Amino acid sequence: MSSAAIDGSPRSLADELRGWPDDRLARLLQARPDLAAPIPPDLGVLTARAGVRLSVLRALENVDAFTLALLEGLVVRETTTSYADLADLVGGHDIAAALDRLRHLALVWGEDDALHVVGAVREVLGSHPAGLGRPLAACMARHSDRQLEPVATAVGVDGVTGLVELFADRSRLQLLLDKAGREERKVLETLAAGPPLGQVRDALRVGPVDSPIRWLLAHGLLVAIDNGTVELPREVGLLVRTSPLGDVRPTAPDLETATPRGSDGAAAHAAADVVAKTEGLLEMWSAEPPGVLRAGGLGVRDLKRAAQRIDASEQTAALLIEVAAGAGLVDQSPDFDPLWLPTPAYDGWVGMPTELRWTVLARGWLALPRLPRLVGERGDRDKAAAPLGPDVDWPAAPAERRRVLGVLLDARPGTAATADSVVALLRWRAPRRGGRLRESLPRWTLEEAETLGLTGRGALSSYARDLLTGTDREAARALGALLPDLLDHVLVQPDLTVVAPGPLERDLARELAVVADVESTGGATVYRVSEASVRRALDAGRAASDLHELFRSRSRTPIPQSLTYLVDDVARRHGRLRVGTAASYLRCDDEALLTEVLAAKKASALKLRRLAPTVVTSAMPVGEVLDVLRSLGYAPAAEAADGALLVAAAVPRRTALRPRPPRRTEHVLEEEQAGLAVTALRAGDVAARAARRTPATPASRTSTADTLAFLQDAARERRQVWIGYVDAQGRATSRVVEPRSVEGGFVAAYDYLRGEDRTFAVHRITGVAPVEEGD
Amino acid sequence: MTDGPLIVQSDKTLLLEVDHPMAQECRMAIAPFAELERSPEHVHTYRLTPLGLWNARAAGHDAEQVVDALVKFSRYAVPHALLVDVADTMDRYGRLKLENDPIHGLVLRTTDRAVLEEVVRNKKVSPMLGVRLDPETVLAFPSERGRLKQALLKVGWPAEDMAGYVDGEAHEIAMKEDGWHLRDYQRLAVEGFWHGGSGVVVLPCGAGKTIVGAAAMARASATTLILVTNTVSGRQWKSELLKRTTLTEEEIGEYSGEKKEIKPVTIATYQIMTTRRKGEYTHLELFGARDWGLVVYDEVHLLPAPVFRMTADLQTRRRLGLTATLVREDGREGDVFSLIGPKRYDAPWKDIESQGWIAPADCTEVRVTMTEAERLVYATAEPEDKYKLCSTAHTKIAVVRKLVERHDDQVLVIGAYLDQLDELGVELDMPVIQGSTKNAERERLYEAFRRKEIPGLVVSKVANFSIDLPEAAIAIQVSGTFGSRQEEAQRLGRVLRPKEDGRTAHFYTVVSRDTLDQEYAAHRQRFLAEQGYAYTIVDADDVLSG
Repeated sequence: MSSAAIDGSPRSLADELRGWPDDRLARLLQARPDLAAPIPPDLGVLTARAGVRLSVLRALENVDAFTLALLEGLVVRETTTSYADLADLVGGHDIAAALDRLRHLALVWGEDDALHVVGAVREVLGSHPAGLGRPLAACMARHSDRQLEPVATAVGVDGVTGLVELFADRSRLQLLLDKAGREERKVLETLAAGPPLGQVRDALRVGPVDSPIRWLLAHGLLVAIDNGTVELPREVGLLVRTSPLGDVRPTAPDLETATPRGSDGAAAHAAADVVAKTEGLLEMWSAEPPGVLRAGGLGVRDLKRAAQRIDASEQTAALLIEVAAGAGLVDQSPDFDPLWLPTPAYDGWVGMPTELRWTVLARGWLALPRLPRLVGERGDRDKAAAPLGPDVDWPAAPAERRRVLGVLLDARPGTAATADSVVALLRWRAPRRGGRLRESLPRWTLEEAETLGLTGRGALSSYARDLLTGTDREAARALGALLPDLLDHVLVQPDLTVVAPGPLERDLARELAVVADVESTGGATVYRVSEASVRRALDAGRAASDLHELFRSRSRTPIPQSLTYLVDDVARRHGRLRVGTAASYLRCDDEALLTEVLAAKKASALKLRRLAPTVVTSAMPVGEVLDVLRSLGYAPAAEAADGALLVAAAVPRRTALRPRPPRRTEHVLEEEQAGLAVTALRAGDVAARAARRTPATPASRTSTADTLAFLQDAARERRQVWIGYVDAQGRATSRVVEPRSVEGGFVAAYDYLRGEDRTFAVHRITGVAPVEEGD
Repeated sequence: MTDGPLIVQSDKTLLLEVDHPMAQECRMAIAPFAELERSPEHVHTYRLTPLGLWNARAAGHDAEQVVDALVKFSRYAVPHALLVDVADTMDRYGRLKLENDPIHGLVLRTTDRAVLEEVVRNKKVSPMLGVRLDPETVLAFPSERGRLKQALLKVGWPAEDMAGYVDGEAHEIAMKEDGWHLRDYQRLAVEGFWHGGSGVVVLPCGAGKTIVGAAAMARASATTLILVTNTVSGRQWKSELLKRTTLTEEEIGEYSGEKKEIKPVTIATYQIMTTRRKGEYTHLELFGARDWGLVVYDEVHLLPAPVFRMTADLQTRRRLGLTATLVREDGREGDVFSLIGPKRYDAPWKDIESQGWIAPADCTEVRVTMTEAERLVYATAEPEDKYKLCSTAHTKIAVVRKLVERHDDQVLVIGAYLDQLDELGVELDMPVIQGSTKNAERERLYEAFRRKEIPGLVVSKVANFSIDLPEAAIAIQVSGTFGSRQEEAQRLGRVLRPKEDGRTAHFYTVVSRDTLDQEYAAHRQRFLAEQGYAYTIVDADDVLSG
């Protein structure tokens, strides 16, 4: 490589980065923000970080299928490769832009004639990039000479070196391939299409060439890697394949689109609906707030009730609840037994016009770091995820929504795309992204967007476009133009229904909701006035005249006589029975005596009230009333609940329990909570004591092999150990863990520092040490 | 967003603003597929139901027409999901067809193999099917034709019955239009029925359902079995047939508790058909007594369950159902659909009224205040006695008398409790008809009523069914069966026959204030208001002083 140094070519990635202008480095940090946290002290550190497996994994999440294919091409070539060779590998497509992207991401470096790929990329893409097997040399690395000799002989070369040389020469390899029969070729083609491994019985057996597989094995075109598996060497795969990297699409797949009629109208309809439903739900919660589950979130029954209230599926209800919380309209109260309650922001929201209210909800959804669709899914402990609970968290959700909506945003306005084609496009754009929900996430996002009125009939609405690219105000203005005008009147019908033939002004809607029950919703709202609903209005402090006035002033149709009668009838009967609270009563057939008692000055402390000529109530308990009356010189007798006389001396004095605010000290620790508390205590204890005892460097540097052995032992014996650990952000910590398992370069362990199960990457463990019994 | 008269609700009801200039056009467009649920003065409510949509499919409408109508007349955007649901539902009808194969006889044939696979695997359906003839066809047992249709409706794949009908024994019947003519809607109803083969015609009481029946018989010109609710109603059918058709006394038989005649046209009561002796329906053989070409079911909404079962065996006969409402209080609308047939004609009451065929009615609720003594008794009564106590309050008698005096016209007083009826009979000096009154006596009294020899009649629940009192312009109901809508429709029907001079009919309900009576009256009031009738409430004191 000395020659490269002389002509100015970079000798390493660090070398190349050093040569980059500042703005290019800045763009790298933007594209891979994890490299900048914390700010690396020098380019050496930056390079090192850029080569870390986890960082490479993240960088690859944003790489499209073609660029990824290019990267695979680079990996397929064991060492450096040239621009021309690479272009050839991907089927002659123009690779300039894609290669540029990889360079900008610091995944590839070097001049066009000697392209290098960062080491960790090889690790991340695995030993079978593009579905190709390992090179012959790697496949045969563990073979003994006794195994190799017959192959070399069969092919007619000298030893492994001869074999590798032959395989490296395409034309010579082709000659060898040409000797293969039809059956043999078929096997090769199957394995070449990937995956390159095949299951075979007795692969390692040396014996007569009695099958196509045996022939291929005997000629090195297949290599037995264990007794049950054969591998197709990469050189052979590349030669057999028509396109070396498989089916490579240089451009994104097209969307399957349609241009539905009236999509904006449908979207606006949904938008208004969502706003109304959210309000209906939160109004219900203002009156009867649901409790917060101990594990966080909303109970199943409360979700069902919410769904019923807004006449929607539980899934929709969960979405609206999550969105309302995301928009800051709902939160849990700070009480000891917390409730889900509307926030003060809700009052502001409710006062806004519908279109602005919608933008608040839509923004809340776009920024919601949660996946409402996970509600009800069974998690690790077979517990259904609760809305507003911790199991619905999904920090990547906002970015995912943007990605999905971005697809529609890029399409011509008014274009709807099928979910399948959106999924396909997104998969092309970032094949390594999404994890287990890769297929579901875009579909969910599209469904939620439709429910929330961002899209109508699958097309992004004009106002949602404004929301995504402009301001709330612009979006609200566009939406407002699509919404029907608010009505200031209703139609009162003789069957005691009240029809609001469109959305109502807020005040009117509120008043109607007090005096009538909603019977059906949709474009219009049908209310029914019933005896119960009128009584409710009267209970809420409306007078009969208020109700008459409401209907008279707001109805476009004449008020039916039956409605007037109903209101008057209920009003006439309302409040005829009176209910109140008293702690005790006095009764006396002699009216004059009661009058006398009422007039007595000292009796005023008893807070007496005359209900009828012969009945007086008191706000004081029986014993007190008796005492006061006796002190006044009367001879009262106590009465039991059934009217029988109570013997005076037998009455021990008691007081009625007054309602008190619940106090913390009264709380009883339940078994489960107590268990958790103890665990937490112990964990803190262990961590704290260990920290006291450990020297400045908690765990001495140990070799990786030792580290692994130590951790495996600890896992087997369920022993706590000290580890020093550097996390993804570069922070060094030391902590006490109890390893559960060690595999694939990761340690699964219970972390006493965090009090939860975690996975640690072995290469980030700086050292290990035992935790002594005395710790 | 258009400015249409229709608003689509999320619960699949449709609101139609009737004062809108396009309301009439819209009504015509949606009537074939949406059931009119309520028609109060300003906004009518229709409902989209699977049965309604299948009725529309059976009448030859397709989903596109339905969706177009909804989108065209809707004021606001129609939820997409609803349109999809409409299309999906309608698409289910006719995937399966019952056909008459020239070689194999009755077969179930499909245009969609997946559907056939689904139904042949259904436990309820498979016993009624025979061998698989080819991927699209499976043999059906002719004896199970009706039950098969019922079962298929239950699993959501209603079959279209194309298997046809036997002509039955021919019998000359012609209409005798001397001095009167079949009305347009009656003609349309008959056409609709005949075209569909079997089915139900929905017409309000007093709109001439008997004549539709007669015209259908003339159209079929075949022996006919007519099933009616009771003997009186049967006799009225008979007299109507004699008057409107060429049929003679000798050609019409009565099959009832009293007589057992079987003639080319036989009128039987539901009651006799469902009479059992030793657990057997002994009169079932009537269905097979002749080769009937047509079976007419009067008041389909009252069709008793055993008759449904018998009807299931009658699927090769043409069947005509007549009713004022498809709503059954037992919820067996689906059985009417699969066994009698889909709805073939329907016209809203108010429309027919505005054409002058039924009398405009004025409904009034008179509220009496019970005396203190009555209130006390009521307040302390056992719950099961409460309704009787308040509805038969003696205070009502004076009000009824005053109402009778107010109108110089014949009056029907309708009630449910015999003591009360007897008392009213004495007070008002009117004969009382109740369940135990002999048929002959009933007819004598009806005749006297028609000849205006008596000022009125006091009748019990027996009046709920098909009696024909053409000139009853005033009806007063004093007690009823707990506010049943069915009963209300019937009673209203009593006074809705067209009057010769076109005078307004009056329908009074006397209720006791602040009691169960008033609560039930609220149901009636709602029903009447929903039918579009003006409903006023007056105080008994105003009546007594006026």
